Formats: sequence, C-alpha cells, structure tokens
Amino acid sequence: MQLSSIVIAIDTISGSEPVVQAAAELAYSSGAELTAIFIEDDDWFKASRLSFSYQISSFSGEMMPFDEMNMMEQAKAHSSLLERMVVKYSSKMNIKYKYQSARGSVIRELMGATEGKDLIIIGRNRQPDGSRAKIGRTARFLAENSTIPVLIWNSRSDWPGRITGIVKTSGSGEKQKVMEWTSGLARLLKRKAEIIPTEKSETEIESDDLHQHLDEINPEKLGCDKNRLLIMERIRDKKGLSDVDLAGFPNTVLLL
Amino acid sequence: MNKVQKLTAEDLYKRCDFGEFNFKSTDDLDHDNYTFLGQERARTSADFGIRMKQDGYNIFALGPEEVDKKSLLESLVNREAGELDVPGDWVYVCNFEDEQKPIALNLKPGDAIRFRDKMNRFAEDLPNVLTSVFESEEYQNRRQVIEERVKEKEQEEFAEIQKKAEEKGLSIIRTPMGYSVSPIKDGDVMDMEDIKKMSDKEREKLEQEVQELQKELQKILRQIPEQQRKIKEEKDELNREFTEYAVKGLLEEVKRDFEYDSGVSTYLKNAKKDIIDRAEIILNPGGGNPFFQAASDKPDSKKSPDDHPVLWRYTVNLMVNNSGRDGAPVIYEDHPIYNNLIGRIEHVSEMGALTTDFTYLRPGSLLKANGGFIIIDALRLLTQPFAWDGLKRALLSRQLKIEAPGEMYGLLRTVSLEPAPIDLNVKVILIGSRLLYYLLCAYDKDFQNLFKVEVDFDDETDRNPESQKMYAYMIASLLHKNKLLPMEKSAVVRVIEHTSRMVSDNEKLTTKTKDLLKLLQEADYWSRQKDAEVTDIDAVRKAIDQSRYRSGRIRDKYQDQIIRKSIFIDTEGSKTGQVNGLSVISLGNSIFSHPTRITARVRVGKGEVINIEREVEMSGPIHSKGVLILSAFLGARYAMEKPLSLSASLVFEQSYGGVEGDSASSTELYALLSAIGDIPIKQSIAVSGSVNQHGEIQPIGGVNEKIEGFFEICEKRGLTGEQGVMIPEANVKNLMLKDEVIQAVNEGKFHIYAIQSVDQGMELLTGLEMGERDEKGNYPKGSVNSMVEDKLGSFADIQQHYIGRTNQTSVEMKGK
Repeated sequence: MQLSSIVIAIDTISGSEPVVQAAAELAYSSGAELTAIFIEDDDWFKASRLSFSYQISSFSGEMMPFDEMNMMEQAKAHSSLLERMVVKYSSKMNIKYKYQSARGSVIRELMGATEGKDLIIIGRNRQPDGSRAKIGRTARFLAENSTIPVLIWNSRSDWPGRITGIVKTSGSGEKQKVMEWTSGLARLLKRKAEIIPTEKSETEIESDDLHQHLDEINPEKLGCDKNRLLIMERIRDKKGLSDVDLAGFPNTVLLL
Repeated sequence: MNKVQKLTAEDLYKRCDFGEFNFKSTDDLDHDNYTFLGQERARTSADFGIRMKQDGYNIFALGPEEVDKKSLLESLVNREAGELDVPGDWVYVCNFEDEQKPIALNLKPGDAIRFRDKMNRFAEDLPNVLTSVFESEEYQNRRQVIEERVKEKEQEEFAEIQKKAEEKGLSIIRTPMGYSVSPIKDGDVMDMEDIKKMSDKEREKLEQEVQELQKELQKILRQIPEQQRKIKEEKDELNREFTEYAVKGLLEEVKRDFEYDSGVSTYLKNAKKDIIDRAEIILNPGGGNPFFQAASDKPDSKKSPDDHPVLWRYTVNLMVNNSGRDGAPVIYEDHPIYNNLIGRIEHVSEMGALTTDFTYLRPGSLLKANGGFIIIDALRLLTQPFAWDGLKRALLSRQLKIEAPGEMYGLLRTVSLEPAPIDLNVKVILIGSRLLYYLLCAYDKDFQNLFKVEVDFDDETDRNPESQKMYAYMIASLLHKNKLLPMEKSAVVRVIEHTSRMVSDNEKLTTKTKDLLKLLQEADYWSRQKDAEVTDIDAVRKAIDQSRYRSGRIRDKYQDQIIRKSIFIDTEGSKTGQVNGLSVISLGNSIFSHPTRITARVRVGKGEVINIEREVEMSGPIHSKGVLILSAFLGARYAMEKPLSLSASLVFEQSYGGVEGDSASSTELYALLSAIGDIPIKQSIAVSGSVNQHGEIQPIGGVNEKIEGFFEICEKRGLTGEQGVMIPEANVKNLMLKDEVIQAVNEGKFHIYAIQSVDQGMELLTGLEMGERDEKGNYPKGSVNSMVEDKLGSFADIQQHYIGRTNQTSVEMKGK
C-alpha cells in the first residue's frame, strides 16, 4: 500500500469539514502530502448567464442576483473560506498540503487531479435531499471510474473504530490488495483490523494481525455499521466500470 | 513641731515572711493553682464584658505593656467559649442569576466540608453523567427521530421538486450561496447560445417553468430556517428532559443531607436549572472557542471543575469550617491588616485582564471568629490602613461584607464581586495602652458606643501574707510554663521582695508579669551557668545586679564625673545658698539618680523669684509650678506686712538637659532661705521633697534611686558618718533599698531622715532652730526665721529708700 499523496475533493464548508479533518489525520499518520481541490463548476456560470435564472438562498429562501460577476465573486469568496479551513487543519496536524482551485467540469477536473495520487477522498452526500443511502453524482462517478482508490466519507468527523476488509472473490491479487490496505490503514490509524470473506470457502488468511470471523458477523449488516471503515476491491467489467452497489454501504467506504 | 524621724534599717526594706506557708522549692507548689494576682477589677470587668450579649459591649483591655493582659483574657474567653454552642459553618456559592453577587449559606458545624465535597464530586461527575445520558441509545434515537422527522419532510419535498424538474428538463444546481434552477440538455446545463436557438414560444415556456419551479423551491427553502428552529427547540427540550433526569437524582441526594437549610434547597434548585441551560457547554466546553482550545493541553473531560468554563459554578467555596470545635471559636489576630480581618477578593490574570468569581473569596478572621471571640492588639490595628474603619463598619452594621478597601471608599471602578453580607455576631477584645484608650474615647465618636467595657489592668497589687503566697504560686506557674529551673524558697522570697522594689513601694507587689518573667529567666540563666538544678537566692541577686550593671553605663559615667570633680557635688562642709538636690533620669531600661547642686542668690528687688531654668526654657511646667509655690510660701511667711523686696535666682548648676517635676522644690526653698538669711547649709545631706504653700513636704518619686545614688557617691569618697539623705515622711513606705545602704545605716555610717515640713528640714540642714513667733509676732533671735525676716526687712528698707529718692529726683526734674 503506497500512500504519499492524498487528494480531497471539497465543496461546501459543512459538508467538507469532516472530510478535511479525516484526510488531515491520515496524512499526518502516513506522512502523505494532502492536496485539497475545489472546483468552480462550469454549470454555475452557465446558469448565471441565463437571464431568467435566479439564485435562491439556502439559508433564507430569498432570491438573490445571479449573474456571472456575482458568481465569480461568490466562487472566489467560497474558495477562500475553503482554503482557510484546509490551512487550519493542516497547520494543526503539521502536514504538507496544497490547495487548488479550478474551474470547469467537476468530474473532469477531479479525474485529472487524481493523476499521480495514491488516494482520493470525497464526501458522500451532494444532493439537496441529503439521503444517506444515496450518493452524489460526482462521488458515484469517481467510485465507478477512478483509477486510484476512492474513499467515500460519510459525515462523521473521526475515523471508525475498525478497519474491515471485505474479500469477495478468492483471487489472491484482490485479496492481497485488500489485506494490504486493511492492515496498512489499521496500523497508521491505530485501529483494529479485520478481514471478512463473504464466502465460506476462502483460502487461509496468512497475516497475523488480521482475523476473520465470518460466522460471527452478518455480512449484510456490515454496511450499516457506523463504526467500521469498509475496504473492498472494485471488480471491473469489460467496459471498465465498477460494479459496486453503494446503496448497501451507507457509511464510509474505501474502494480499491 | 514634731521631731525629725531618723530611719532605722528596718524602715528601709520590708522582708517577705511566708509565715506558716512552707515549701522547699517551687516544685512543691501546685503551678496550676494560680489565678491572676491583683487583677480583680480587670477579671470582673472582663467576665462581665465576655458574658454580656448586648450590642456594643466589646472590650478594650488597657494597662501597661508589661502586664500580661492577653493571658488573662484568653483564659477567661476560652472558658466561656467552651460553654457556648459551636457556630455554624459558612460557604459561598455561585449566584446563577447574577455571578457578581455570590450567595452565602450557613450550615451546621462540620456540614460545610461535606457539602463542598459532595458538590465538587457532583461537578466532577457531571460531564460523565451527561455524556452517558446523551450517548444513551434512547437519547440518540429520540434525537435522530427529531432530525429525521424534519429531514424526511425536507427530503420528500426536495425529491418531489427534483422529480418535477427532471420531468420538465430542468435541474436544481447547488451553488456556493444556495440553489438555482437551470435547464439541461444531454445532462449538461444549457447556456445562452442553446436558449437563443429555441423558438420564442419554447423560450417563454421554459422561462415560465423555471420561474414556477424557482418559486416552489423558494417556498421549500423558506421553511428551512423555521424547521431548523423547530428542530433546535425540540432538541433543546429533549436535552432539558434528559439533563434533568441525569442530575435530578444526584442533586436530590445532596439536598437530602442539607434539607434543614432552605438556602441550600433554593441553591440546588437553581443549580439544576443552570445545568439544564448549560448542558451543551458542559459537554463541549471549547465550543469552537479557539482561545479555550489553544489554552488547553489535555482533553476537556480530564479537567478539574475549577478549570472548566462552566463546572466551577457548581463548586463550593468553604469559608468557615467549625467541625472539630468544642465550643465557640476564639481567634487571636496578630496581624490585623484589613484583608486579614475582613477577608479579601482575589483576582487572577487571564489574557491581560483581572477576573474573579466566588471561588476567589477568602475569609478574614472576623468571619472565622463569628459566633465567638476575636482578640486584637489595638495599636497594630490602628496603624493599619482601613483596618480600624473596616472593623467599626462591620460592628456597627452587624454584618460582614467582603470588599476591597478601595470599593469601600468608592475609589475603585473595576468590575468586582459583591458577595452577600454575612450576619456578624462576634465579641471583639482589643488590647492596648491606657493612652490609646483615652485618645480613642476623646477623638473617635464611635469608639465608646462599640467598646463599652473597659478592662483596666492594674500595675500593682497589695502586699500581704495572702498575696505573697499567691505570688509564690504565680512564680511556680511561670517557671513551669517557661520550662525554667525550679526555685528555692529563699530565692522566691528575694524575687517577691524585688517586685516591691519594681513598684517602689514596700506595701505593693508588681503585677507586670513580663518584668517578673524577665527576672526569673535571668536568674535561671545564672543558675545554669553554675550547673545548678535549682535556682537559689544568689542567682536571683546576681540577676538583679547584672541587670543593673548592664544598664548602668551612663549612671556610672555620671558618678565618675562627680568623683573626678567635673561635676561639682560637695558631700562635706557647709555652704550658704547651696544644697544637694536629687533628681532621677529614666533612660531605656534604667532609672538612676542624678545629684545636682542647687544654688540661690538674692538681692534687693521687687519680689520676683527667678527660675533660671525657666528663663532659658529648660524647665517644664511642673517644675515652674514648684518654684511659684515656694515663692508663695516665702511671701506668706515673711511678707504679710511688708512687701517682699527681693530678687532671687535659683538654678540647677551644671544642668544642661532640662528639668521637670517638683521634687526639688523644697531643696530650692532651703537654698533660698539659706541665701536670704546668710545661713550655711550642710553639704553632707542631700535633699528631695516637694513643698506646698504651707511648707508641708510632699512625697516624690524615685526615692530608692535617689538615696542609693547619693550613697554611692559618698561611699566612693569614703563615708564620714555625717552623710545622709532627707526625704519626705510620706515616702517611707516606698523604701526598698539595697543591702549596702541598709548595712551602712545599721552601722551609723549613713543616715536617712524623714521629714514632714520645711521647718524640720531647715533645722536639720542648718543645725539651727526655725523659731516661732512670740506674742508680739517676733521670731526668736538667732533662729532661721528671724534671720530671714531681718534680711528681708532690710531689703524692704533699701527698696523703700531707693524708691523715695528716685521719686524725689523725678519730681525735681519735672519741676525744672
């Protein structure tokens, strides 16, 4: 498991703060450099250029002027706030960090930002309805298409108590990767590590610091356990897309 | 006229006779069988003052510093205090409605510590208790239900509007400030170019749909603040419910032990309310406050209540703890500054500002003595700024209010505390000098209202067999208390006799126990120097002699100057108009005699007697008065029918330090009579005595020192058997002379005469009779009175003649 550079995608303050805090802790433990990236969505600017379009305040519900100039000012202001938040946590943990802001398509920019990085972390909820089961469009895209491991973070501010690797197939490569990340993260974050095969006829787990207890745990309820960080391998189909059904895992998930 | 009394050795020293009171040493005496000797008045007054419960009957104990007033008062006070109830404890607690005004609670003795410990434990446990309650599954579930109830509605509405938007080819975009409704095409937001390509009708429809959807979205978003408020209210109510549940039991447990005090019940009720209001801060004290978080170096849950920004409010400041007492408190305040008496409000510096709260209140000794007694040194109290005023204020108001002196005078304008005043019920006992007492009576209008009981300690007590016996017990007690060697009976006798010498009265004993203790300690020292196990009479004598020796440098120097004739004092022969007077000088620890030659010169004049000392302002008023009195005597005896036509001058020869007192007035009169009548006076006899207008000799002070001083001069020159001292008869009871003098008198080598009148004195000094008027009013020829009268008569004639001639000359000159 290599972890020398982490990128985190941030948007709103409230939604991104737990992500930033968690990422800073991981960067501190691993010595990785943290890159925080904020994308000024092209869609905002497009929408702002429409003459009949308004911005409605999420706080008061009032209509606000919505033109390109306003949008640029708001985006800049928002970016400053986000940068301040990143600096705060990075300074507190004394880690190397970078802050980037880009304008364009969120997905495209984020996919580009993952190049050369070891891990990307993104918050789970993006949609206005905020349901825990659902996942934002961007997070979903990354989960399915990112070539580097994706950590989808729920809204809690601290790392779960257990790092649980889920081994779905008997392929030694996939199992090995999951075990590496499970034991690696557990060591870095000083958490308990465990490997849970979803099928009984699994080969022996060789690592001493992991254990399996399939009989004790109901795999179907694993995803609902708030105190577990689940790690699983994405299995790609012929089109290169991952088959992960994130609805069954409403909490924090690391997809390899 | 009575005959001059020549004193015998027995008259010069009164021996101590214990009669049938037998003991070998003080070890045989019960050193606890001792009551304060000679202080009956003080004891009775103190008893009265201590037991008197009315306001204003505080005590001022006055008397010399050397009298151990404190011991007597403490013994009486402790006895009374032991019979009184133990007063309650006092604590200060937080006033949750106004932190600047801490509340005082009065608890049963011993309960304050329990209350404090219970509340401190409660405050320490509170975060854990609240945490466990708020982490409980029930709480989490109910909180989640509240959030979900509202969120579910929000989510439904959003989902609905999102669906509507999708159906209409629109999308709700999240922007930095809120939301926007935008048309989409192929999954992307349409830009203006795409819009322009649409027909007018399509564009119109699109705009209308966007606006409709915006309005709907606005309607939903406008509800959010209200819904957030609702959530908050419901959560707050939930928090209240659980907090109350969490703390109720704990506080009830505390309350049960202290239900007897309604103040405690009220306080606990208010504490519960305060905890409910502040539960969140209790659990999350940092609360995002960067300063607090930066300042903390350990997790919040491990902080003590004092360090926590909220929990300190539920601690208790223990001010007075009377557990373990057997009766009322007795406090001796030996450093009566304002803060030590009244109490103080401490401050602590936080980020450059001074802050305080009820936990920084500190009790003073008045509070500690509340319900009992406090003993204070008056001079120390009065010399401390604000202390006297503070004490008076507390006594007058019968309340103790802890505040800074600056606050009391309206000098300070910083935010500080106003702790609730505490009812004060304390008996104050001040110990001081007589001068201080009378000054306070004269100049402090509050003093006599507040200190109505004067406890006047006497310097001396009567000497009789019973008092001598009690004195022996007192000596035994002092020796035992101060861990000194026991004393033989003979030594005790000597000590008792010396205490009469201390007060210069063979019918009295001193009550200045500090002076007595000094003698005992020094005798003990000399005993130990010779490895004795018991102090004997020799050690006592040595202590007395050594004490005299240590303080006798100036006395010895003065005597040396007399012996070497730098100062002229004759001790033989006769001189006209010259008498040996005797003064005393009190310097530091010693009093010693100061023989002085007093001379008189006379001439014709207008009747004035010039006191040269007074002319050069070296004479005090009492001395001047004495001279005026002797002048009046002179006039009354010799100038009834003729004017007093002399001018006389009196002087203390070689005196450069000033003179006061009238003990030399008879001496001056003798010198004057000698000068007028040209009658020689014996220089072998020194004189001391005050005279009144009738020629009666009045008693003087320092008689022992005066006699011994002249004796030492004569002894050094060699006693002739003619030398002696003439003293007022009224002073015979003051005689406690040293052994050398007694021995010399016994052997006839030195004489001491006690006289009642000027006539007796003059006869002794001149060897002539004074004379009495016959039927014709004439004095016998050759008598002192005759010679004086004749001389004054001649002065009058000269005066008359001179005036007559002067008037005639004046008339002649006018006529011309």
